[in-house]
Amino acid sequence: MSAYHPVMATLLVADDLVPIRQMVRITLSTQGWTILEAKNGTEALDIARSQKPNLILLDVDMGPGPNGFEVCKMLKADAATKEIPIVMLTAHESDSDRAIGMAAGATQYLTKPFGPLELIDTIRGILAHN
Amino acid sequence: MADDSQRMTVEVVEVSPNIAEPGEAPTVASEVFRQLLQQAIRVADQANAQSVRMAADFAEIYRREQVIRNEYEAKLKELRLMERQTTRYAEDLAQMLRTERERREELERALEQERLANEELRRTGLQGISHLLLAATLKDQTTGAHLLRVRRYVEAIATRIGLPAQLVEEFGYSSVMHDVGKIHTPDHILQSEHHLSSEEFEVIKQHCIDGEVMLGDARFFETARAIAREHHERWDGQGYPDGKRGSEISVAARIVSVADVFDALTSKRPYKDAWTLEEGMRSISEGAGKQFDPELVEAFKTLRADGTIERIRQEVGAARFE
Repeated sequence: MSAYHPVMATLLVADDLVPIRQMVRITLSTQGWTILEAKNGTEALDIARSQKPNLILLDVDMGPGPNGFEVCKMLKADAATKEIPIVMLTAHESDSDRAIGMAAGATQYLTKPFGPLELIDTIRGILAHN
Repeated sequence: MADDSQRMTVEVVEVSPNIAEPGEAPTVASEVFRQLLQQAIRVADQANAQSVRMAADFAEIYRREQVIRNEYEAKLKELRLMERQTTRYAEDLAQMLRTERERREELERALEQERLANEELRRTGLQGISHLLLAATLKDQTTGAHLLRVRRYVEAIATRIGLPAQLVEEFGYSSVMHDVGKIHTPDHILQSEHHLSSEEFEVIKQHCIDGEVMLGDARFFETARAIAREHHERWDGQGYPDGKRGSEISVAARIVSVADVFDALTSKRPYKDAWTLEEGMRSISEGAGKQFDPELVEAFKTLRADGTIERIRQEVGAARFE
């Protein structure tokens, strides 16, 4: 996870809803980033470990298996993946949920509906920081 | 619903032992009554069982409906989220388009202003040229037609060696100013019909330097300054005023040198008759590598061969410089 050019970044988006994944993919592909997709927590863990993306977007409720908070905690506990910045992207908008997400190790917490420009700016900011 | 029907069953069962009270002697009537009663109880039991069965079915239907309702509500929540998400996208997109349009309009306004300013600058420059030339030609025996032909030759050579159109135009308008410095040269030297003394020749050389100075420091006259300064330099370094050689001399000045000399040779002057095109061409060819850049001489020869030179002479003819 040392130096990389933001334009070359590979991002993982984990969400159970196909249309949300499509929107995120279309939005982020405008920046030249490569987008990987996971439809639940288990898939998200697998891809994160095998592909080592530059950043992960995590939904919270993704059907059966670990939820987004749990996935985040697990990745942060794993030495191989703990450096990957994680952005929670969820419809849970309460302060307590936000606190749970940040406590789990998320770098940013965005709520749905998210603005495409806000999403791009957030990711750009995080990538530029690393 | 299920609870109600079960309670009903219990009530019916409780009633039956009271009716079949033991101890009394069975009579025909009571026997009939007992049988009727038992039948009634059977019917009631069946009805009861049916009710229980129906209640159970209703309960199952209700349970299934509950599952469907939950799924439906989950789906509805998802749809509402997607609806809000889509709206958010549309808002962002609309905002981007608005910003984009405003930026484009602003840019177009700026470009238009820039274009007008440039046009005005160009007109100013070109008018300045006309005034300068008017002043210079009044003193010299040089005619407007000479300058016009030189310009056309310069443009033809520049085009032939593959320069871009913008440079061709710049070389063209700049070439007409090559002799503006002569405005400072005394008339008796300019109009002298005999050989110049070395002192007089020093004065003549000065017109190249004067021309460069007169053309100031604007970018518009950059090429014109180089031409004024260098158009009497020679490829072999034997020219004036600086004795530059080869590619030290700007391309524009090298081109003007060929065009200017050729037109001077093929025009009538107070001290000489006009040479024929053939004689002029021969002199230019002999100067290749000495007075002139050999590549430019080659280009000029092709212009002679394909009739361009002749056409320019005919078109300019005795036309007056404007």
